[in-house]
Amino acid sequence: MRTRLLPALALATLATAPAGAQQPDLHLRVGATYASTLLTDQVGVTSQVETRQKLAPTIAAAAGLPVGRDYGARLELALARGDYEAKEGGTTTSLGTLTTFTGVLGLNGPVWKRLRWHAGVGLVKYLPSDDTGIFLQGGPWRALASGGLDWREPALRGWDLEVSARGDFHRFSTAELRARDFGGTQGVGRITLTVGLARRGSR
Amino acid sequence: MTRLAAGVAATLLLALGAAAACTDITPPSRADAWEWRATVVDGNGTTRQLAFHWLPSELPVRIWAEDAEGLPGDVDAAIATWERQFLHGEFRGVRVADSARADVIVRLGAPPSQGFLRALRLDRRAPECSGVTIYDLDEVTYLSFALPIRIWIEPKLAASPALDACLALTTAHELGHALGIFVHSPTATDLMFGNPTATTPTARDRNTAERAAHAGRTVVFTDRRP
Repeated sequence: MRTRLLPALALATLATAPAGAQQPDLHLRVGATYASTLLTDQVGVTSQVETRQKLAPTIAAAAGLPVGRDYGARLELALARGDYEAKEGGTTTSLGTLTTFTGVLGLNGPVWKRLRWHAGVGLVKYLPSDDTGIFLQGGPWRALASGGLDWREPALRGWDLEVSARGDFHRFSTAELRARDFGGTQGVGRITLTVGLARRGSR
Repeated sequence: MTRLAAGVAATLLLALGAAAACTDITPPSRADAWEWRATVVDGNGTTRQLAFHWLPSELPVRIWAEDAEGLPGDVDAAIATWERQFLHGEFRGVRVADSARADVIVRLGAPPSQGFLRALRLDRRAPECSGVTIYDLDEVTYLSFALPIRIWIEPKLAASPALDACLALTTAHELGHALGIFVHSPTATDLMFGNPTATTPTARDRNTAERAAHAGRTVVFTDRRP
């Protein structure tokens, strides 16, 4: 159900674009994603175990259309892949590789000169290399809110150099954690910094 | 000004989202567990509590199984069963072909009646089969034990249709001892009960195994082969 939501939202965005729109903005960037702790577990009286993803190389792609004179709508997709680990005191246990696929549908607008804000909502899917531990019953889909800034500088004919900063927030849990009576969800914040090219759209 | 307002509004929304994301998930208490540490009197007459678990740097635990009565398959299943109990990679096992490099040796048959001076011996008996796990402890201090940990799985009623199931659950039970659960569960429905009927660990088995994996070690092993 959720896997069909993003394409549907993208189609809706394109359908509501101005009639004169011909060619969407295209963006392709690479960078890295930092994520906060996925889980803090208390085992026994004193043992606290933190599970978190290490800095993850990221590739992001986006397509957008103008909305009015100054604003735009954009579908952004990002793939971040890095190791994740459990830390207890000074001991670290490698748990394998964790890939996150993020899709965000958002709006953007000008801030100052070539700096633009971006805000949107979407979904993140966790894809662990092995269905073990907290992902024993698979990786979850989670809803997220995203925002950030883009700076574009003309570089090539029709293409801009783009530097992008994103922050996003979602609440994390898994089917395995719920099955083991973990209560509530963990707030997870991520920061993604990317750089790449953006093709200017035409009307 | 409109631009600025839109940007500020977006920033505020994000700040609200960040604030809403600040609460943490709540772990379960895991209080439903039993005391898994063994209390012994060492060679100096001192009462000691034995606690052991494998450290992350010591994983995977290398396990050799005698190729008889489907024992390798039972060991593979037991490894997978116990790996599934942990959330943070506390246990990983691998079956190895060379018994000389094994941390745990699983054999079919009865254990020798002699040869271990101060063994911590953990028995499991049923009509169809029995199992024993032996830690070869330092005979005086009880502060260390020599690898490998030895497990014997002994079929009793060869013709019994329940034999295969008994061998499988006994293998899983004995591997639980090799993970550091030194005391049997007082609850008959648990896999780590002295004479279990459960084929997989219960929540109480899992809680106990998790707590054992995160408690301090009072006994360490020696003579691990590279």
